[in-house]
Amino acid sequence: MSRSSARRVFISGTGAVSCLGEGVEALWSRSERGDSGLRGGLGAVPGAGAAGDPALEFARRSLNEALRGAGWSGLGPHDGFILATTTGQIRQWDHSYYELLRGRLPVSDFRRDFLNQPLGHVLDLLRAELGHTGPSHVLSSACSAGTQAVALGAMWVQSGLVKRCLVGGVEVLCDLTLEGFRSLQLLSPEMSRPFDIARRGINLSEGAAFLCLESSCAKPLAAVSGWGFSSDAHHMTGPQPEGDGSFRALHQALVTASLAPSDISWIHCHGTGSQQNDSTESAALNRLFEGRSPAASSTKAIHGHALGASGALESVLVAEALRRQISLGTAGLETVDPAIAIPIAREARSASLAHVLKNTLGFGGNNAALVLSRADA
Amino acid sequence: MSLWVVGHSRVGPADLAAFSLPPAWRKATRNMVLAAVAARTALGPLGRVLGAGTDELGLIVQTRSGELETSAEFLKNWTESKLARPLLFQNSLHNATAGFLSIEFQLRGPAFTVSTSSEDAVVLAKSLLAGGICRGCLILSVEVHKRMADLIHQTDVDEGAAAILLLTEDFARQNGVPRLADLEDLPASAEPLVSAGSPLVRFSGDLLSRWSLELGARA
Repeated sequence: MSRSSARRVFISGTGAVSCLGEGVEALWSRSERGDSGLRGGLGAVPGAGAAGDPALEFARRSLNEALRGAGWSGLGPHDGFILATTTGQIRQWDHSYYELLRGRLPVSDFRRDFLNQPLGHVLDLLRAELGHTGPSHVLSSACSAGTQAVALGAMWVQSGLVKRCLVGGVEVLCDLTLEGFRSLQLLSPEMSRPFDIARRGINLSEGAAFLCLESSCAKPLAAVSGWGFSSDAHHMTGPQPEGDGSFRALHQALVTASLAPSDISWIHCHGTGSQQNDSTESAALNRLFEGRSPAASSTKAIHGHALGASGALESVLVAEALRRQISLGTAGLETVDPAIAIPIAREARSASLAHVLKNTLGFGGNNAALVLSRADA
Repeated sequence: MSLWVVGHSRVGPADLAAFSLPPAWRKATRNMVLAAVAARTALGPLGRVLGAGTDELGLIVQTRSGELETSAEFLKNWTESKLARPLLFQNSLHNATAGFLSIEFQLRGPAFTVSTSSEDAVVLAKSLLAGGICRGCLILSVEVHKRMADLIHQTDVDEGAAAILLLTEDFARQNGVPRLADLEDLPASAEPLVSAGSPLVRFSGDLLSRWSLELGARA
């Protein structure tokens, strides 16, 4: 299907809650300034400790911002709702579990908290609040889940399966991911340094981001033009070093967008700051662009890696970039690793942005990529 | 677009009783083993032509509880001994089973983990196939939470895996894979089997389990 004949999918509203603060404006302005929200290598949402159910709170606040921005009063039976998460409401039951193991909590109390265990539960609660009865999914494909959610929502709108689609992701900091990533020696104790020769690992963060997708709107922020997916089939946590899997996802995104590599103005990378991710991603992009890559950036040193929510959060950033015609830099970068074969943008700058590649790589060898475009491109 | 069901399977705990784990599966979780046994059977008709793997098959793993047992074990180790075991962590992620299957069967196409229902997994597969993202989909439901379920005295949940291999008609014909059924001819719901209280369907993979039962009965 050519670009001219495919139904276009527009982003009509966005919302975000992150360690940079409440709302998309906070997410954008601090990202543009290079003002990191990380503390002690982690990106906690301010005031999150006071929230009874942080996952639900983050999701609720950010989706409401997106709905207001799009001018949607709610979700109807012909609308879709796709949520991405890897931890869901784990904070509602993990500490209860510790207390249970220590004999300090009755089983009945644990059972009450444990009802929040299925990852789909937070979606169930949000749908009930919105009165939503249309199609819905919860995607939990690790770090690529948010990107997959945006892509799937766009596919649903483009195919006419739904009239509109609310897509997004939510993630909370918890012992499972903090200690798990630490056990894999992937955490950096300081602000991450994507693509830097001295990079030491990632910074975990939490938050939520949502996007409203539809095929026609008065003031679109940007458009979702292409999507691609693949699996490395290589290793449970490490990416395939030559980047073959990531290349295939990126290539498919260009194909579905009916674009050539030369049409891409800027790349927003996964860029976690881990040795393996950044090397693999660079290899994949260098192959895609045959050595003529446009500038690429990672913003994870500003807002951290929000795992399942990262694809959605960073798609919100890219949509803002397209709307404002400003590409973002790569905070934390001092000396580019000579092994990184693509040009890395250090600072934010005004740019003529028509089409942007948004890339993600996830545990399980799961790769997903998007092409996001200026609304009139 | 005509979608053919060309493979199916259903695996329960009893099926694993006499199962001998291949060496490569020694570190696999119970989810992964159940899923892999189901996948191997469902992929059977295409297995002979898979060769070194394929980019053209999608993989959708549907599970509501995911790697709950592994997550619980990780947290138990952490709270009791402050020991975080990396293998437990990597296997505790909700999409760990999908990662395991993609490696085991060299499935290099799109992979999704869906945490709602098997009906949603089928909708997702149809979206991917209609969008030309892949030419076939292995759709698999798996649920393991017996220990945790027993811990909170839930007795009406079961564990198991069910899988369906769905191909576009032209991909199936291209590879000489016979049709078992057209997708549109299969029941849209797991009812009335659920109402009948069949123990075979007491997990979120009800729909795929029912389809496998029906296809087995037709054979």
